[in-house]
Amino acid sequence: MENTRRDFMKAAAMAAVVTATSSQKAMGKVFEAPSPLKWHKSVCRFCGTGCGVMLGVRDDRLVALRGDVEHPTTKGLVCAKSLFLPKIVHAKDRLKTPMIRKNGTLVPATWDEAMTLVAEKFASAIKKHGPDSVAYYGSGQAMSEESYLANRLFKGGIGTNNVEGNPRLCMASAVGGYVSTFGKDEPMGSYDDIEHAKVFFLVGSNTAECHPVIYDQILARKQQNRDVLIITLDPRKSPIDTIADVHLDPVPGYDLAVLHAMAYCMIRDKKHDKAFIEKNVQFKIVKDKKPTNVTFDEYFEWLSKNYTPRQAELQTGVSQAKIEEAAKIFAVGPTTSFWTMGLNQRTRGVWVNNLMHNLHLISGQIGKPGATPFSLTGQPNACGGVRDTGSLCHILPYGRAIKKAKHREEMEKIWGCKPGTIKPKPGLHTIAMFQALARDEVQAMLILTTNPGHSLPNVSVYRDAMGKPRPNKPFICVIDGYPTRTTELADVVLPAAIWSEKTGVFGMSERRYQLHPQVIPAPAGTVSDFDFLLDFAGRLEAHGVVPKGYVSSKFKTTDDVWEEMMLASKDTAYDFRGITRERLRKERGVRWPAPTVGHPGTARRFVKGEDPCLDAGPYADLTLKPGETKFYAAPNHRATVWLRPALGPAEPADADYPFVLTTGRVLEHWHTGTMTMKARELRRAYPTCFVEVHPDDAKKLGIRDGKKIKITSRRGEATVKVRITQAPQPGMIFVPMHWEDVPSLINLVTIDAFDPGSKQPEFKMCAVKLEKA
Amino acid sequence: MRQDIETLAVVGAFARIEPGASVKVRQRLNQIPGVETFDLDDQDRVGILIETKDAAGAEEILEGPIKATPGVWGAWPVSVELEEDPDRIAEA
Ligand code: SF4
Repeated sequence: MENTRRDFMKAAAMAAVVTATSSQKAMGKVFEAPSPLKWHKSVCRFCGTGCGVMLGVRDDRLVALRGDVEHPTTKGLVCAKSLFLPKIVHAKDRLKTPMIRKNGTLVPATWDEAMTLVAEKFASAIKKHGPDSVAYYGSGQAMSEESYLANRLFKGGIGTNNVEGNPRLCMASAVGGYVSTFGKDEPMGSYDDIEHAKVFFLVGSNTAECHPVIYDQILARKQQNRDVLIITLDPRKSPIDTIADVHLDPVPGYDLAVLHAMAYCMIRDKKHDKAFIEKNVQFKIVKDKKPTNVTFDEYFEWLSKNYTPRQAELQTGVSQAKIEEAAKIFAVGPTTSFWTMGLNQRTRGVWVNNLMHNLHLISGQIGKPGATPFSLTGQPNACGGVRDTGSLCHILPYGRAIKKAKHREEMEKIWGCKPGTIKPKPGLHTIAMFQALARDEVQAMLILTTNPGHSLPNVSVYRDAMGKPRPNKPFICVIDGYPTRTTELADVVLPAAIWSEKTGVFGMSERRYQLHPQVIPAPAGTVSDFDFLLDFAGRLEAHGVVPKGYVSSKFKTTDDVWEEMMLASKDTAYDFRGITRERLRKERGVRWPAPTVGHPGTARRFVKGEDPCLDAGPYADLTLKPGETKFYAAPNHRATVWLRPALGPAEPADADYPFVLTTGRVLEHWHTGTMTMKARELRRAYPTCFVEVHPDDAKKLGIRDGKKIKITSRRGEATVKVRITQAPQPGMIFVPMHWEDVPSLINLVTIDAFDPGSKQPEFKMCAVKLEKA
Repeated sequence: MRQDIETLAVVGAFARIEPGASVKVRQRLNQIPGVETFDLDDQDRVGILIETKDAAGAEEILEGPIKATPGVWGAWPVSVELEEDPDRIAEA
């Protein structure tokens, strides 16, 4: 290899670092040379941080990737996962041929054969058993236009609300928390708050490994300002604890009392914001299944009776001193809280989300620079694609609810369907949908860009539902870019174009909608989920189960769908009519609301002078002064502080199953590993699945590092290698979720109990026993 | 993989380091094979170049010895460029 090329590559890498870190010092060493690659602005395919990336293309192949230094929030940073995207896109096992199951085996077919079969199966189920006999299970990894189109097709075309997606497994409790506290989903703050915060409260979030770029920004803040303090709350010590000033480590599943006790301390010490509370907050408790108003004094009395630090210590194992310290720090602020699955994947997920909001509301740590409660997302488009487009069984686009007649009418008008087409009853939520599949009540299911054969809890039950041969077995169609534990169960598998092979929008955690353009051709034989949905809809129209022209006469490209989506956001709290396609092509995304093309986007919602919804439209209030907060989407325009009892998990440890299993991620892998396991180097970082066991437990059980142990729950078992570490507390074990093969598939063990409000399953806690394998 | 085709991956990265430990940390990092460091404006960060045969080695070095170096609080890549895609060569 020529030295000049090596030198060029090194100089280019150095230039990327220098630019990303805004350093002038090293500039002199970087020489400018024309790049032989064509560079395109895009967005990372993985997590909800939504890092801006530049993609280097040569000969129609992705060969390089850099953080996009012009990206306003991620500023040129990326993490190790994204570096492998070029390789993952060109992985050898990409699906490129449709397959149909014949005599129990998947065999190659033409697209037309496969699509004819899919359309026939769906049409015949609808004709024989009605619209609710079919279902759609989508993904926070599909593009926004794809999720919107699928939702539109099923709810407004076929006439079923059986529309779900994998964000039910990761974000539903956050949605429930935002809606029940503020009246609308999605965070009010943004990543800008990191630069202003003096306190970070990181809860149930391994930010260092799961959102590394956010973690860097927090670290940077702490390095720049030694007064910045970090509180963490997690029963497992993760890498963020190395920078924590206070670590709260409750018994798994019993953290609600800690949050209540922090609220108690703040009010007792008069650190609450009386003026803010009087103007913006109401207090509610559920009595006889009905939300009932209580006063601030009654709230404090309730806390004093049940959740003093002393009582919380007894309930949770966290020392009073630590609770007092955390409350004191939190109240000083400005405080930004980040949380993820540790709070959401719980049977008390909505409640614990409410309690996070409670802390911000009573202390007034909200609606000001650096002060915000913020749930981080794990997928690139759970927010923009599924939550915002209303692609779950109980909601409609842009904050509308299935149950509200006015909202159904509005969407019927926009979608051009007959009045009464959208059913008033919510469809089946994820677990109920797969249970209905097991009972053969759902007769045809479309699974798009997701892997429930691996990712559902108590997965063997649902694998059987999808794949076990039986008379009258439901028909399963899966479209994906790669073979997965779900494609192996399908009756038809369709090969999908992915990410940089198609053009569409991702909406990440901070309400920023960003375009990722097609920069390389899709592999021969693949089509995008969008083109598949157009074809599918056209065929259903031809079968007479969807009105003629309902989809086929309306859309040709994702740009056409975007036009309708913008229109659907009018007069909602999401108004993004100013985020045009043209703008998305030029800019590094825009945060909604942004009702006009000239609007720069909104860093802070519900704040006069920042949120355009307070200036014009149905939520406008011209009496407010700049900087004043108004929770305009909430009943009485007041956010709710909820008095939620501190109940524990569905299945606590007991004498038979004495350990608590928690699951999660490691830095190098992402979700079910469909993509990251394709990179040999990522695989090599963790060649096999493992279980973290505390040294005290290892000693008691006589198990040694590197040896295998069997983990058994009331539902199933897994056998993995032991890693003895102080990370989990005694009595708790941690297993990452990425490995797909039996005996490492940990979802054979997890529990499918779910939050009664959000219907999100409790991946974070179930009781297990351990035995030497 | 054909052995006669040479491949190269260069990753640009930076590390956040313990305040005041810049000199020591750079010395330690420079001892890692394939790693070169360079100054950045900010004393609490150091620029890193990792040169290996493929992205495999680079990621391993970043997540392994670099992050394990005493005084390193965290390390982040910002770019990767592959001179030859090993998969393509394997297909050749
Ligand atoms: S932090 Fe998330 S979005 Fe950013 S590069 Fe890593 S995986 Fe991609």
